[in-house]
Amino acid sequence: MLPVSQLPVDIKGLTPEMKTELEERILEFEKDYEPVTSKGGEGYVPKIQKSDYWIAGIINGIITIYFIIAMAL
Amino acid sequence: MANPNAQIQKEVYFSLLPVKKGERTYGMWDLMAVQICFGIAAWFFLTGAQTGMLLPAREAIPTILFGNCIPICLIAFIGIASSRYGVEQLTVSSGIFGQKGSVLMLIFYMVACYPALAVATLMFGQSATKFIAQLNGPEVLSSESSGVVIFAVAALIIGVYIAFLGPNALRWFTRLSAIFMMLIIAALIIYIFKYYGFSNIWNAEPAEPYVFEGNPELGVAWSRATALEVNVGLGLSWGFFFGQWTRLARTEGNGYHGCMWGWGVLAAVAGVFAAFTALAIGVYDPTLWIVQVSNEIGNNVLSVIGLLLMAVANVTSVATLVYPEAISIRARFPKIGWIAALALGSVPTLLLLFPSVYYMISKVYAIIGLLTGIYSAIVVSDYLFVSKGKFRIREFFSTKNGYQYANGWNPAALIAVAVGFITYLSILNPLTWTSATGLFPYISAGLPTFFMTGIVYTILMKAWIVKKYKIPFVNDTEIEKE
Repeated sequence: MLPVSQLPVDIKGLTPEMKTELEERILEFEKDYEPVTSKGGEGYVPKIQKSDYWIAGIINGIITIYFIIAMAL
Repeated sequence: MANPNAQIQKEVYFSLLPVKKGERTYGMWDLMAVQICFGIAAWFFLTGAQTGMLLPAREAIPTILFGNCIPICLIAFIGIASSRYGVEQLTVSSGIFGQKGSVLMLIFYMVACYPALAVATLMFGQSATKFIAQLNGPEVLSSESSGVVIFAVAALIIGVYIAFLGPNALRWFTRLSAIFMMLIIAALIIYIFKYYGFSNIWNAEPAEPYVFEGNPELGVAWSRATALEVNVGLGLSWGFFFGQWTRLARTEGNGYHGCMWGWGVLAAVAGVFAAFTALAIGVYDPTLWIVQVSNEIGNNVLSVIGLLLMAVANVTSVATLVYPEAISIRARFPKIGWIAALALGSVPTLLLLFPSVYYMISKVYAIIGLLTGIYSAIVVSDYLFVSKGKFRIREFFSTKNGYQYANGWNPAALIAVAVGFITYLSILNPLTWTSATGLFPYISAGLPTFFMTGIVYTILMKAWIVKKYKIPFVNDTEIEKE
């Protein structure tokens, strides 16, 4: 990965205050969260759980079965 | 003099700044309310009505539910990275498409927004003109040619003003509106059944199914495929809108569920209502049903409530569409002020404010579904099979050196976009509604395109791009020495 010095914040049109704030937030994220997010872990907020996917899968599975049956009858 | 810290705090909600944990203001119910308000609008009313014009109730309801909920379930992974990193979605897209590729996606996004805004504002116009006609108002305000456009422009202005106030004002506005709309729609569905009788609605024949002389099966296939396609198009159309909301979510799960259920099964109630009205009186425009029943029973209260629903539904949707659009514009081009970003996200809609656009919902949502489906397939495939949501936040904001791939473009994403277009257009031409290969109506176009695009992207990334380019935290974990 490129060193930080070669990755300056260069988005055009940022005010100096916004640029400073953005740099501070990036540094804070790199220090507090990136060691974990780089391994697929939690970022600013609690990570999604497997149970979330299960809930979505079950409800949408029921809808799919309903659709298949309705079209087959 | 304004406190600079307070200014920055405020700016978080209107700019590209990553939103920290303490600044997250949206829980799951808030996001659900926003997406109900966003979802319940012309798009659900008209796709639902279109479905009711083509299919009987026993097929229309599962088609509306499946056509909307399954695509949203497939693409709901899109918002997770925005929750994790606090950045809006097109910023995350730069890690997938490359810095220049994400600008192309921003253009796709805006192109998809304008016709959606046109349909919503025109529906506001349609309902307002009928209301004015009920009150024997002036013809300039009650005719479809002038009145609809005048009220559509008014809806656009009001919606943009609400978006201008930002997410905290939107949160309160949508909390109240979502409850109001869900109650009114539930009451209207009950009223339809009481007025016409459950079995009459359930057994009603659709008014405009496809008919082929001597081949009734082909007519059924076209009716089913067209109804499914327009609903899938609507389901996929949310693809560009997740991250601008989920960056405000208190947990990744809040963002995931709030968007999925709000845009999915809850907002789909509006589509079911519209399908019932289409089956009841055989017309495409649900506002006509409200006026007709009011006249039949000689009571204007229903008319006022129903048309108020259409007004609230479409204005809130304009607001909740323009806000994320403006955030994405400003994230890429911060020099553009908040008002200018809102104008850029809304004013071109004026060019589409023809009453005829209102009657082209199939084509409008096929085109929107095509653009968003291709984009969504790539982002979801990347999340599930390539990056798995691991990005280097610094590279998002370093446009010259971060996430460059080949001179700012990820070739795998570009090829997958091209394959997506070819797949869709070979199955269905959304402008002429014809199939060059004859595959439509035997398969739909939106879902096969989604899967084909995702498969091509994943294979190209694994077999080519990951071997050729260094991608932070995917195949590159060590920081080089200065």
